[in-house]
Amino acid sequence: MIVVVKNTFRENIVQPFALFALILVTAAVGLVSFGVTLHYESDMLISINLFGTPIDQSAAIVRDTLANTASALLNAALMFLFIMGASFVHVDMLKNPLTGISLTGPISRAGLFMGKLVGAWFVGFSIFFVLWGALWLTLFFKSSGQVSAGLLLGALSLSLEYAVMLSLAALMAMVVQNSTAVAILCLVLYFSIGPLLASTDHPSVLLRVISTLFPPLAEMQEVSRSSILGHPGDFAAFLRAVPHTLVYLLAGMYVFHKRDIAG
Amino acid sequence: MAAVVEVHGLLKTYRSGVRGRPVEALKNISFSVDEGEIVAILGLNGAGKSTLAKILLDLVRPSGGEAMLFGSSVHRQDWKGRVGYLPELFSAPPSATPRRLLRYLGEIHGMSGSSLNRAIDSQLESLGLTEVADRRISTLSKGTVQRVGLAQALLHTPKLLLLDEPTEGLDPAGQRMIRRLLMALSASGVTILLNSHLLSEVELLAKRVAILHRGMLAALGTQAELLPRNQRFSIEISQTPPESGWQEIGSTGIWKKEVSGTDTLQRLLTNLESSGITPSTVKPLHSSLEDVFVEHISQLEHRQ
Repeated sequence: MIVVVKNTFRENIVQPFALFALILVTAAVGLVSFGVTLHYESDMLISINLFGTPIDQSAAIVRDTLANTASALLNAALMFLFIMGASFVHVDMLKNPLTGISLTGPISRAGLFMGKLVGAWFVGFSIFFVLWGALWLTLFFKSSGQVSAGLLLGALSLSLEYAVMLSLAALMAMVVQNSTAVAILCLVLYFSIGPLLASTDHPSVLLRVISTLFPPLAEMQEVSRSSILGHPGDFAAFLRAVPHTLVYLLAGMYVFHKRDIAG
Repeated sequence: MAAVVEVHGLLKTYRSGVRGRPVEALKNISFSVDEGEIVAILGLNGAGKSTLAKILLDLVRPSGGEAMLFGSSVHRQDWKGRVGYLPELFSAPPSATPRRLLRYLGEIHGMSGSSLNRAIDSQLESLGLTEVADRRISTLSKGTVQRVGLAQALLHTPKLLLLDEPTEGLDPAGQRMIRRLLMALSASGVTILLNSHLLSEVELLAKRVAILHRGMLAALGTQAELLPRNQRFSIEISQTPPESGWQEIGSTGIWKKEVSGTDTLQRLLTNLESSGITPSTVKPLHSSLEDVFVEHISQLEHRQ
């Protein structure tokens, strides 16, 4: 299975979604490195310059507004790209000739399924850590060590969100067998229906039933955002997502086991 | 001799969607292939050849009947690691190189270190791929990619080869190279089941031929059994013949001979091979496998 993980990582890191994510990472780090100047006095942030222009507001408010906006935008953009990428991995597996060839070797369908999933997850994991790691280092040096380690916690949180969405995308891929449909379903779920279903006191029984089918996406997104801002959220949301993730994985593997492989 | 491939009453019905009309891809197919044999499955596009190969590899689940490899059901997966497979329309990630692709598939088969490196170099060399080994697959011609496909199928020295249209996209020289390679593998005990719609290729390679039409086995037998006994063939060579009985065509340096029967043809080809001569043309005269193919298909259509 490790061979499949390695190969999937190598194949996916050069896919457009990963390259766009890397460009985004570079742009974000570049903007912070060259566009933001922090002025400290006695370890207190007193002002922030954006591209040489001092911002005429309280430094703390500017800092929080910038961090909030930037983290929300970056999180959304990265998850958008990675959900798009995740939608293709398992649909491609059903149609790619290399799947049939690989399965002539001593690897099971479950091993191949998991290898693809873990390989694709490592792409996200690496890029999230590169991004937040680079930003953390940049801010660390700019603020003479005043930055909190929340960025790295945010990267972990995003990686966990990605793992949940990957397992859901893999199950959908096995059922729908169409990458465009999987991408649309997952994106709609992540960005709109998921947060809508977040409330547990829906007036409609149907909505309450539907909300139990999906992990607490809105809570997970909130944890990622607040972690990045240095306020670690309630990671129990991820624990509550574990049963969903396991069910998606097992169901996806079962369907893959039963599926005819075109490749 | 032990049967390497056995299928009994194999059925496969595809359904497209919940309300889709069922399509019978295979209807009660039974045959076996012995160790070291080359058997060709001949059929038009959509005859069920690829479905049959995929059932043998447990990639497609049969609707009925049983498929066995090396004496046990394909579902038991005891055959894993002993089969080389070249799918129809072989393709690989465009950014990969032949060497990297072979390394990945070798590692899937549990190979590693210097033995894997040696196996990769050996396959690259025997299929004439050494020069393009480190070039991206997206820059290679269709025929070269097909040879990469064959290299991966042979990498782990399988005992059984399932080849779906192996010479697709290859030029005549490439086709001849593959034929020689497959004959050498067969002589060393490798069993080969190949799907093809190229009658000329099947005539030169396969000991037995199965004609598949619309999922039904229309005919199965050796070429000698299927072809009329007095089948005549014309052979042309562009070197001085090693024996008498050849006629030069004008003063072109091309020599021609006609023989009767597939046994005589096989003997003559073996003699030429041992003299280091490769025929430039071998073609059946009048009745041929093509006639047999057409006849069996029309008989089947008539019965239906």
